Amino acid sequence: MWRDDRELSHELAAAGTSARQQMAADSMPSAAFAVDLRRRLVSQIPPVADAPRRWSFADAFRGRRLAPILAGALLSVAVGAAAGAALIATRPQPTPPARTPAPIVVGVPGGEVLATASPAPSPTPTPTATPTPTPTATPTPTPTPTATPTPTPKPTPKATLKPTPVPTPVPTPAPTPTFTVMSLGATGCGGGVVLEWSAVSDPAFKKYVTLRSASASIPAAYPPQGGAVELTATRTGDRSATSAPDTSATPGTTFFYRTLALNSSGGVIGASAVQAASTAAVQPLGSLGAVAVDATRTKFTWATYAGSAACFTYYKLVYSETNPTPSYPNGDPYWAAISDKGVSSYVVDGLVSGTTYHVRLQAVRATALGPFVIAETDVLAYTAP
Amino acid sequence: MHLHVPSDATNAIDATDAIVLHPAAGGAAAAPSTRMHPDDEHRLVARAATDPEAFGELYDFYLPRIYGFIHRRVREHSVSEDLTATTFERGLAALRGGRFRNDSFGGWLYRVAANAVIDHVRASRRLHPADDEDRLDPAADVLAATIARDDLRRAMARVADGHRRVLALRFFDDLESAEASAVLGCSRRTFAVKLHRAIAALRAALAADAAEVLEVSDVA
Repeated sequence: MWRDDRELSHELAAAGTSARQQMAADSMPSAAFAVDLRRRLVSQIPPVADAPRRWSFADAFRGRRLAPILAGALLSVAVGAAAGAALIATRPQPTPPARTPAPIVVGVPGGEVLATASPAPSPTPTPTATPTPTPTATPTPTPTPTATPTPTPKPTPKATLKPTPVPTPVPTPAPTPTFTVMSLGATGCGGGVVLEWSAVSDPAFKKYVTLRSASASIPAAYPPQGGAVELTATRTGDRSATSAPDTSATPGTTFFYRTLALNSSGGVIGASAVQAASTAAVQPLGSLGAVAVDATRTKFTWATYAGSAACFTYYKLVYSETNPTPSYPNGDPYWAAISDKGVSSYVVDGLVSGTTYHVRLQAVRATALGPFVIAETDVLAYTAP
Repeated sequence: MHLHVPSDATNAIDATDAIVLHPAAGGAAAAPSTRMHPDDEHRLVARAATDPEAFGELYDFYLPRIYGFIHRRVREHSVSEDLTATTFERGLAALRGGRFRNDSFGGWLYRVAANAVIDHVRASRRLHPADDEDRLDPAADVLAATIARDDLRRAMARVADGHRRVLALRFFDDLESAEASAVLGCSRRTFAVKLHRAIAALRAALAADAAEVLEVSDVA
């Protein structure tokens, strides 16, 4: 038996270190993931005005920054990639080496490109009446001319050494991908829109993205076209994550949404129909009440959320000692999660006497890709007795 | 080929850390810091919203740490990558939106990562949404399963979820008090109280184990 807390802490530290070390080799991100995510994030940062040079792939390998990640067996691969990236970087054109695949349009070229042009899930099972040539909406994957019959076997960037004016020698992935019609529901709530779509089973699946537009015509194309924008909060590589919030829509304005499933080269392998929704402002719930029950317990009370049940997942009684405006989606912790809409109070136990907590009740809608607040009380600054 | 590690480890650890986190180490000097120097971090955070270089430095320092933190819990690389990407997307959005206000960017990242893990566990197990987040953090189970001593392992299984989580953050993830308190959304002082309570609860569980009394005390 341990004599005191100090000895016990030692034992715990040893156990924790041992457990951590057992997993250490398996707990490092892959170099490919690290580079890809880094590039994606950095591309979202607007370049500084006096530095016109964009961050490039070659930068990742210049200097010391990726040292810990590339230290493993993948180093040789990275060196090869760096050489290729350097070749690209030395070209006179300032094109970033990041892939810019030609937009892939699903449906009839030039016409309306709604996915519903093809096998829409219509209940009528009589297929003979429709003279549609092909039941599958085989997306002509690349509108590139591909006039050069020279079969460059590898997508090595060395081909760009020749002064051919062809901007992107994209090696066309020949097989026609299958196309899935997805369902999409868009529910307008206070503070945001809930987007829920059907999963795709296509093994080529890489990620979902949802596009938003002020117009009802959203091409099933990626990158987005026709004024549509990609909602980064809806992007996920998790096939089973089929719901997401859009909290960036202006309240009171109707927006249109379409969800796409993409393969690893950015090709559209699935698309939903276009759905409309509009949000309202976050519903105010008034002030939060607090009454000390005894030395360690305090009862908090609030007015219940009266809106749509489809928008409500649970209440969160959030708090923070450091943040005067605690919020569950922003990462502040909570004392209680209550999934009954009708509950209007909660007793918190174990507060530290003399400590001031900033407390707020929030009604939250959860989705697979994050929660958002649909209603909330004012913040109460509460000092535990 | 060196990361941004403070040359003087004591700079990153104040007296509270030394007392709370390393009770037997004889002071801060014995504790190697894995934390970015706060001054360096502040400097980078101030620039990161508009300076890709500054953000890149933060990214390179925290990526392996956040990834490891997540992977120790979900144990699946595809999920770890997804949750890690989500965490850094939110981190960058917070920096760019000027919403970042905490004093520790690293601690905030850990907090977001912990939330992402909990949301993932909740969704994948289809658990009741009202389940306590302390119960949903898988770290305590992973830690408890690897403890060699039978009595300590049994005792870990007996203490309340809140205590187990505190112990896992401190001893399994090896977080500094600034980071661990950020995960739990409390001050360092409160974290010190929580850690003290958790160790006391574990000692009580060990005593109960020895006496074959199955009473678990819970101090949330």
